[in-house]
Amino acid sequence: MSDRSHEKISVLMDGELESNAIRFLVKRMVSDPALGQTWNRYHLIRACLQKSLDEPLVVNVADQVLSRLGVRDYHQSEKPTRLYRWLKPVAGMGIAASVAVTAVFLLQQSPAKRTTGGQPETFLVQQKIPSQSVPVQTPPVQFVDLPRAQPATSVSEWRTSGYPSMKPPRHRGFLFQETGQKAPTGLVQHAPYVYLVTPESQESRARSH
Amino acid sequence: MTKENNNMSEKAIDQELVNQAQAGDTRAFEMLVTRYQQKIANIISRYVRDRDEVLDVTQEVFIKVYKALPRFRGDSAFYTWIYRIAINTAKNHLVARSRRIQNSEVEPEEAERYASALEMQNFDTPEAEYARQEIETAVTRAVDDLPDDLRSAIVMREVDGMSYEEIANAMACPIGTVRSRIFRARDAIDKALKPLLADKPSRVTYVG
Repeated sequence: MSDRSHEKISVLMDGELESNAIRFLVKRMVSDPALGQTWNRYHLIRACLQKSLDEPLVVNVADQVLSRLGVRDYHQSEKPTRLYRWLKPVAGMGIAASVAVTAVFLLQQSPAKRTTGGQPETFLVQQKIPSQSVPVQTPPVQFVDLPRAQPATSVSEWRTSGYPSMKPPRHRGFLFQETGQKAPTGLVQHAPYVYLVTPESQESRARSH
Repeated sequence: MTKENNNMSEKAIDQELVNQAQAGDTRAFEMLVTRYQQKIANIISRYVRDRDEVLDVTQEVFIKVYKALPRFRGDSAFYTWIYRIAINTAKNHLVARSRRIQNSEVEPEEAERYASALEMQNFDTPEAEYARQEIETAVTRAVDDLPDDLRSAIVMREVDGMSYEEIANAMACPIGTVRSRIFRARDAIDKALKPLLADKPSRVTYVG
């Protein structure tokens, strides 16, 4: 901040600045806290010189007034700088990306511990059901095949071990029905991944054999 | 710049700050308060003697100003407007205080003692009182230390209220020189003041 700006403030507070420059300088002082503080200090000097001995010296009334009014403290809500303006969305994207990477990593880790066979492992990706969709006929789940270095067993084998008491066909039917009813209401629905942890049905097992 | 032009310029500054404050800019409102807080406190101290009450009433005035600002249309000068608010607030404060004393059914002798006690009372914390003295002392010393031409210029402007044109005539120099001398004087005093204010918490209010 230059001496020139300070000199202009000095001239402004004496009422000697050209009218066309007043607006510009006032706007600068309002947006630049350092210039605003110079304005405050120059007025404090004025107050000291103008007040008589029996009159009180008053400083910082504005802070207390704004505090009593419950108005936000402008000292804590500075306007964001240019750096922060672009940093904010980038930081948001960074966080989203790191969450996605962590999720993928965790998905990779948990089945890997149980792998024993030599088949490529299957991973699941939850899919959002569009709000306008009609009752779902097919499971809205994508299977992503990722080759792994270590051999793995079939998906159905390790998943069924965690849910021994489930009755897959009944659960599946119920969940698809629920999803189909709620989706048109606009509620965000997720695929019932329970479908995927059920053991193979007798029909499909018979078909495969 | 003549006195008339000077007044026009003062109005223009107020109007610009009022416009921005009305648009919701708190900093513009703060600058308006800074501009007039001492004048308002001086007016109130003619009605209210206790220093702590002066501060309270001054705050009350600016709270009223803040709330009424959206309705201020600039029919009168901003200072005229807040001056009226200050006078009314000070008078209302005195009425309310006398009512409080009447309602408490104090005996006349006790009321007299109460009044004199109020006058004697000083609610300043020692820290605030010390800070106020420090500021005043620093400013006085800085003014004393100024070269003669700068000291004369700042005193003519701030104490005697002379315009740049009048000061230029009195000092037999161009207006540009007056402008520069006043600024250099302020800048020198400011340099003496800055370290004191940097040490203080922002919300401390000094009342002398």
